[in-house]
Amino acid sequence: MTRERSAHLSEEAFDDLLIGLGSPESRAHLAACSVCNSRVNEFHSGIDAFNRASLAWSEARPFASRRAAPRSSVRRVATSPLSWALAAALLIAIGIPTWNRQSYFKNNATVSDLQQGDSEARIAQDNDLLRSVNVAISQGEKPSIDEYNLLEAPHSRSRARPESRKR
Amino acid sequence: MASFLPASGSNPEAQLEAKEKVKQLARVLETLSYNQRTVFLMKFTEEMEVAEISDAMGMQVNTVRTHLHRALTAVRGRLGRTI
Repeated sequence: MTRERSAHLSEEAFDDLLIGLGSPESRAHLAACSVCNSRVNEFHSGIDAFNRASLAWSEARPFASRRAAPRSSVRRVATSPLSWALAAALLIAIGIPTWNRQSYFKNNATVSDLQQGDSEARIAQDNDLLRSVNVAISQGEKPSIDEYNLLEAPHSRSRARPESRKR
Repeated sequence: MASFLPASGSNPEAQLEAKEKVKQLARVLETLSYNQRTVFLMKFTEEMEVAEISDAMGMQVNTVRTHLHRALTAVRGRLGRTI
């Protein structure tokens, strides 16, 4: 049954045509009927608009371009011979003076140079500071065993254990 | 998503109508079931054949056809003559 009372394609026949499974009879009707033909065209124009919009939307997605941009720039830099030459020149320019300086200090440092920072006055000052910190901490501190009320409720501990074992 | 519809040189009225169609279709697609929406998009956006959709989804051809029919009924029923 491909036709309704109005002699146009039934909804099912129309859907079959849209799906691409239309019968030869339906296709013949479509070729001859301008009303059904315009319905098909209207449907396809709506779908085309949707497809164009979704394509433009997916192309304009900001995270896609953000992900693509660094990848391409890294690849470009990594493969360019000029960038390798530049990296090597930088390594030499920074590495050699640093290495020279370190070897100079290693060779020329004396015991007095190393002890200069650790004078007795400085050590005493640091010790005083640590002592005052210890005093400040211990004044407001409870004995650690009291924090858990272990001595006040010995039975609650024994009750709690079987439960924790169950888990 | 309708705002992403590229200007195709047509008049502003047609542009507005196309944007409205896109908006409505997107809304209807959201209401479809997963299978209905997937087969609809495979058919009309990816332009796959029913047999290809059947292979890709691991469904019988008749099942694909039923999903497409239901999706089309929903789309055409809710959008009426605008699509």
